[in-house]
Amino acid sequence: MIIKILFLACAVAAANAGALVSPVYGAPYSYGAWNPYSSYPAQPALASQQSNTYRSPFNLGQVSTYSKSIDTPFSSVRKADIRVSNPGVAVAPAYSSFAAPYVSHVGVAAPIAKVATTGGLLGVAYSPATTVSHMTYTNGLGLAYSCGDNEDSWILYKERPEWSDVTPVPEDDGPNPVVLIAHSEKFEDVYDYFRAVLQKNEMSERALELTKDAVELNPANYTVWQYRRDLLKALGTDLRPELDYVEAIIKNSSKNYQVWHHRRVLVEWLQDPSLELGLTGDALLQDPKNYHAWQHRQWAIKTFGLYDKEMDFVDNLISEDVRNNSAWNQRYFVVNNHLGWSDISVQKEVCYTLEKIKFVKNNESAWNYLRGVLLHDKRGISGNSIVTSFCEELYKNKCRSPYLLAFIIDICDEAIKKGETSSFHNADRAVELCQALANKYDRIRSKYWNYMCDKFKKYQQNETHKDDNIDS
Amino acid sequence: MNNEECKDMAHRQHVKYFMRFLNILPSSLSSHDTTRVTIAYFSVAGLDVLGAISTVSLELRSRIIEWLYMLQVHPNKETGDMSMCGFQGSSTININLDPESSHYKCGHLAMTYTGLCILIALGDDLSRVNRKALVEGVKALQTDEGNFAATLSGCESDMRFVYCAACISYILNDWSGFNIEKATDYIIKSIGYDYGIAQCPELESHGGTTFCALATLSLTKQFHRLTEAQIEGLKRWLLFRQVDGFQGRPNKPVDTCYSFWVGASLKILNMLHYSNYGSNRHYVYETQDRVVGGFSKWPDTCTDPMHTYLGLAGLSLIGENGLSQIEPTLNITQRAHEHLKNLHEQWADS
Repeated sequence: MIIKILFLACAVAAANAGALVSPVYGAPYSYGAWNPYSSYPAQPALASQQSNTYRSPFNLGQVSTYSKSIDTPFSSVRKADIRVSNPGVAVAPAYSSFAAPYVSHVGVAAPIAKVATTGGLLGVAYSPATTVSHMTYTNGLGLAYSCGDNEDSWILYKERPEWSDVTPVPEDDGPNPVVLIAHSEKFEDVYDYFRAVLQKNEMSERALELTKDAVELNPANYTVWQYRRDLLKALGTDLRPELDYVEAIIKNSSKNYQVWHHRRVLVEWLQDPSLELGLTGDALLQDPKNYHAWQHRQWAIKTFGLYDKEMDFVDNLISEDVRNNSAWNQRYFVVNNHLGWSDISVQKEVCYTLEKIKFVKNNESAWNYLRGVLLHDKRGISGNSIVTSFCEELYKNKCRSPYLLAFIIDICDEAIKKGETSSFHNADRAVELCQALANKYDRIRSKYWNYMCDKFKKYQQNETHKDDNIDS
Repeated sequence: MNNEECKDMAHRQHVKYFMRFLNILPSSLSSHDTTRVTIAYFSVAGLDVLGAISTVSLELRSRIIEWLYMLQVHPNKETGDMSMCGFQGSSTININLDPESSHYKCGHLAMTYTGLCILIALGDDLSRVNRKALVEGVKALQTDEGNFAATLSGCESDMRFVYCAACISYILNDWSGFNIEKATDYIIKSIGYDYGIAQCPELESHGGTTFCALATLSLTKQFHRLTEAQIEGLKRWLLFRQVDGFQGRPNKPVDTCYSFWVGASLKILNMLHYSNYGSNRHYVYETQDRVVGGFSKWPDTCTDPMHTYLGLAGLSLIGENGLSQIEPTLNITQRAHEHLKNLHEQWADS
């Protein structure tokens, strides 16, 4: 009985909704699918959810909001959660009149200055209340079975005359399996026939069509994809329509490793990367931080030398969201591999980054990039006077972003190590800044800043000892 | 639910939660069909960190163990080839294939790693693991670049599988299938300009892949290959991931699982105690479902076994009461690690 109910659940809940990257385990973690109540079929379709990050003016603090609503026949839940990071910073005196309203735990998510969205749980901007993705492709045999649209009209493989010569091969999960998935009848049927053709290594058009159904039911099955590639090769299939096909799958499962791998192999076979910037560009339009899309894009650019227009692409993304760390990373990638780190190029990147920091001061991505650029400046981070005076100017104007203070600390550290300390950049200043961070501007990391402070105190002692030696 | 209520562990509910996943799952999880071993791993490792491994009946324990051994891919009977050896993630294609299609049936590094972890946590003596074959299986997957593919059957290669390969080699106490120098080169090349570590060279630094890289450096004892600037940079990058809980990348939302990925990375660098335990703990508890058990990535969203296990493991790292201690590099409990060390001694004696 339980299994019956679970079968029912599949029709709606099997939507391969937003897959999330799991760092190690390879499988997408789909929203909704894990719901312990998913034997109630309609629930995932009735839930909606949002998460956004709003920034305060001058961007010294960050407000994240999550809101969620679920309607079931049994209950309605509305929930909003708003959190603020570094409120101590956001109320820095100079800006308090602007920052104050957003610092308190407000009851409603007020969309003040929407700078970056997280892409939601789906990783794309589609409505979170997703339904099954519908894909129809006519097959090479002139037969078309609707796929997903209407479960009632679905004809099981075991009832299809053109498959009557094949004996289905059931899954052998042993006598006492664990973590058993109560697959739908359709899933079992498709995979029974998939096993049958795989077992005999059948290389046929109908097997190629079958892999589409197997993919739709589980796009993460890497064996199905590999078998499909072997079929494409054996049958000499035109690979152009295959690019369209995998593009359609990518649009629905843009955080699935297998689909991107399939795409990459196709591009390698065709030795034609002309569609890759467009494809990844579209994916990044939906989710500008999609790791898979960036990985594929970098691979295509590197392999086929497609650097020409990449800086414009990066510029656009950074203009749209100056906090898009992925875009900053891509900027580094382009300079590193294409433009090179000549003195002029370093200076150009420094100026670009300082402009962006002027615009949004509390932006870790830009500060990190600045550090990265200065790795290529022979004078280091302490010797570029444009950078050091920019920092001191910000400091003088009461900016107390932890990233600024941390940067000045690093300048002090380098100056000490090079023996080039100045009245601005020395151990005393570093100690003072570490203490300010620990006690006021970055209290969540107070222990770390105290640890840094202790390091600089040792330098102070050394300097004192040196002075002692000189005196004696 | 107000915040004061959620600050304690719904221990009993979490035990039940994992027990449910060990039994039967709804068809909505069909897309996890090829990775069922990882679901078993989260559940068993989760029960272990909850100190509840003894509540797994002997009957269930033997069911899990038998099921896993059934998924082990053995050397080719005719050719003796071991390159496909390892554990499969499920029985989806665990059938007798004709010789011309036998290459589809092969192990997957993430499944071999998590499968071995389950066996260790359940107290199995690994006597039925074909250690030599598994090591050969690992060897066949290392690329010229130094990283690893997950499986021979058409797969990408990246930092995740460097980590899985390192864990397998450590567990089997045999590094002959793992070229440490090449792997370390790959890791160093993947360090970004911000000192975080990416999935592959020049990609964006990421908390999960940074964990994979640092745990590998720890298991292979290669930290001396990093410069002081790289070590100090890593410490900074990792600690800067804390917002209240941890985020995986700069300017991304906080997520429960990074309390483990970033927390364990910091632990490996002996820096975790410089993070803010209170805020971290508070965030993770906000993602707890006290009614049916489980943790989710964000407050009031759907729980799943991965975030539940990693949430608990993250809490364990900061010394939460009632949780077993975690060995951060292998991502198993120290209890399980002790059992493994005993096995290593037995292997050395024989």
